[in-house]
Amino acid sequence: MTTMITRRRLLAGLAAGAGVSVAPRWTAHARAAGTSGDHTLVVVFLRGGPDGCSILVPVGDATYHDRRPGIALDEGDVLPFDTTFGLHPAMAPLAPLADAGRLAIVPACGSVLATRSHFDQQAHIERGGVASTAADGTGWLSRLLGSHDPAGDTAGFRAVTMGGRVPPSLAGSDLVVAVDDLDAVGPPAFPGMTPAGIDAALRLLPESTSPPMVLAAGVGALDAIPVLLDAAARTAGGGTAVSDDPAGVYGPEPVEQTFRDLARLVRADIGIDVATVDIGGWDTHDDMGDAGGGRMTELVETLATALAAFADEAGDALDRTTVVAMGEFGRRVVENGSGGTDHGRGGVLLALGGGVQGGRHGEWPGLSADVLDDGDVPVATDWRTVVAEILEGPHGVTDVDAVFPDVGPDRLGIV
Amino acid sequence: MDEIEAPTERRRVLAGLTGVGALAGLTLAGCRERAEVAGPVLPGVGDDVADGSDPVATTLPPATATERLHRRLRRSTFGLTRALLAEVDEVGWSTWLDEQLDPGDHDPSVDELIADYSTLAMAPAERRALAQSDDLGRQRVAFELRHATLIRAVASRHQLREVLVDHWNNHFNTDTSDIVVSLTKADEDAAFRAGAFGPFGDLLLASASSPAMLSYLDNATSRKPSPNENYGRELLELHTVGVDGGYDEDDVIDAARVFTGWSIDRSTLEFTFRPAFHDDAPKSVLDWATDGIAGADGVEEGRSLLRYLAGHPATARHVTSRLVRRFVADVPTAAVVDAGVAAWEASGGRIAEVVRAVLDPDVFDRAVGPKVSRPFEALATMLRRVDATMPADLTDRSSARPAVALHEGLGRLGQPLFRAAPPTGYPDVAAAWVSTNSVSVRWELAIAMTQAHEALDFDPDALADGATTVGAAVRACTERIWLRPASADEADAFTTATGLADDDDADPEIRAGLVALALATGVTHER
Repeated sequence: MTTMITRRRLLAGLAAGAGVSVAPRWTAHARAAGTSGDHTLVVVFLRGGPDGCSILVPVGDATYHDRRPGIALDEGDVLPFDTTFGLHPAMAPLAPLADAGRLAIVPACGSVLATRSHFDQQAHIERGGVASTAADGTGWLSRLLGSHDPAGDTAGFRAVTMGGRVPPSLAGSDLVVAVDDLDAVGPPAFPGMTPAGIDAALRLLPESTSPPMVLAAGVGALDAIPVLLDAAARTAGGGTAVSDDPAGVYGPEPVEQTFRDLARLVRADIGIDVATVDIGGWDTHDDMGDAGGGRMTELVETLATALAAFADEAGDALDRTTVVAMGEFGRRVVENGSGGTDHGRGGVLLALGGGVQGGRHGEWPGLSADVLDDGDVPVATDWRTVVAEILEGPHGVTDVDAVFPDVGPDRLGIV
Repeated sequence: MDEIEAPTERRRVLAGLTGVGALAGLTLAGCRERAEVAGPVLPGVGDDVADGSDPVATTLPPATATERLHRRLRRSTFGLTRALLAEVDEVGWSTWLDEQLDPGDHDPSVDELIADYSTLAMAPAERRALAQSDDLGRQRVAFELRHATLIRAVASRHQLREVLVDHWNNHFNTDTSDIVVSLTKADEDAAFRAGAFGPFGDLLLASASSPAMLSYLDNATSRKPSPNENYGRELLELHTVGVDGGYDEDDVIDAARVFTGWSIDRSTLEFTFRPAFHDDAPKSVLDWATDGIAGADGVEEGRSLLRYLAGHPATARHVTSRLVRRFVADVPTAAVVDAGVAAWEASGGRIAEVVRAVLDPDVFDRAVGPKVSRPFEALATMLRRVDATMPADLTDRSSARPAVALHEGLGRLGQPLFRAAPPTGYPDVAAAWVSTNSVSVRWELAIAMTQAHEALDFDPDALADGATTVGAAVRACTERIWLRPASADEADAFTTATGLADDDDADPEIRAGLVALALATGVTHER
């Protein structure tokens, strides 16, 4: 070691070496809109088991009112949808999109697995219906990324998950970046250290001190930061607030902000094929409330505001995006003694975006006792058939069996 | 300081640690409010055990005797320290473990540090009165339990007990987003601490009758003729026999009927049985049955069912599997689970004996697989390495701000204490926690922690051992924080990061940066 090397000279030396040792593995790569492979699939997981009958409300079914004396909505409460159904009044932020024919809803939709366990059912859905014992028991979105790469972006991250934890649907993929707050993305600022030196140290040091998957995640973060910074800079200041904050004092609610950040990443056109985001809290065993307010109103309002904010922030990019929102199951038709509902079977699936044919799709078996599945709305439509159709359509997938083995040929005409 | 309850500030929540700290922003939204973004609950919920088909158990490569000992110690504690290693070096592993498995009731190592947190010992109604009195009161109820938990993880001599308390708080998860849970969680936590090593049946009864659980899984309002199935289902699926325990939907409904009437007294917020709510018709769950008991004795139905479930072989295997996943591997080998189950059966479900069997070097060292620290463990380990004591008195807001910010940091990492929304608690496998976000936020946390060293009561200069040159400071920091000397390449990387040479002067800012870099790279992920 020598004291002859000045700080300035050392920095210059680092910069010279940086092109090799610190070369980002991932780079931003815009695609021309309208070309194959520019479609983004956004999967919104409504965790906890959302009550389908409180989102797309069967107000035209007399049985519905009989079975839910405390929590049913009346015909005068709901937003008009079709002859059988209305929308929960808290869906109002989505009404313009519904009126424009861009919102599709599938009632009695869910998983072919009959379990009413949150955890078994979520696991089954994240695997895309593949049994866990199969060798390819990976996440269905990982299989999608692995089997469908139209743009040949082998060097780029192609999936974004909003929030810190990568969902099991993306398990096994190294093409995922986790983002929460887009405007706060930046390199770590260790005191007294140089950015290039920190970058180099963080790439080297964990190798000898951390598990391999941690090293990979660290390198992924360092590589992704410049891409995300660029995307954030190019998309700042778009959109208009959906939630009630006229003075702009508080800013959007956190969930709305998360959906806006995601929409900005889609709009930035950095080659995101798949995105995931969760909205939790749907396990409403008690106090669901009614048209006058309560837990369901709050939850539906959160969902509708988030989706409307996404559409607003995405702008024209919504034409090359399809958003699918669903939970692991719906809930029992009969309310329980706590003013809530217990775990059920069929729920609703919402689809929004480019190419979507608005309105209600799929069979609605009704609520008469003889069609219910142990007291629950039955599953008339396998959720995978809806997603398969989106994959084959706007997403351009040719081999949907690679994602959903044995999904079958049924399609609803939703896109 | 409303962030204690519900962080509303999206950006730079760690800024309170430093005044200037900038978050990487690759962070988690899953911690804010119950109805907002919740993390996936899937990984680590089932009883995945490698049995030759699926999935495959991964064991760590052979290691030296010292490395094997360190692994056992890491899994039994919230992280190695120099003092811990010196102690075990002196008394030996088995004596140390014996003491850990039979600690006294008192914990003199932390009693002093949490002496002012009077809400911990209050009756629930007192806490409610305090929480309703003003914002500070409400914040104290939430903060004192969280911060006492962090202090215990960092400073308690009874490390293994604290690891188990954390485990039971997740096994029998309740979420303080629920107001009743927030007012009674401290009592549930205390019951899990008192019973951490005891017979599983005692823990199960404590959970079933705790107001926190009765409120969280809605049993408090469950009544005939339309019982609320939430608790009955999770009792079977998560707390006892497990999802493959052989029950069906009728068993779930009957379990819910058994517990109708287990409720909460509205004035005291303590357990009460409401005979008027209770369904006294016949019921059966698996091989247990009752003709139904009317009146005040109807509560005995539930107690009887809990005893039956605690003694069920499927419960032994399910609960042991979750313990093994906590201590040994995300996907354990069958051999280590079998060893734990055998100890369970021989001891009548005494957790101390199960843990002793699983941590037996002859069993553990063959079965141990890689595990990644969850955020709470990582934070506690970092704080242990620097000997922080984290004093915090909420009435002095500015001095308490850095301690509050530590908990906000856990929120950004997806593990705010006592705020897991799904009844599984926080997941316990690496895949749920490692992401670009988790790594970058831990870097930021190391930086913010170091910059707030005065408030958190530790001395970066001492960690640099008074070194005045960059090279010496690098060697001192890595040895103190990594607990091993850095290799030449590693030391070079530190020096290079400063933009200086080894012989250059290391000013306090450089020394703090080196401490932060050592924390960020050395101790935050490997469990």
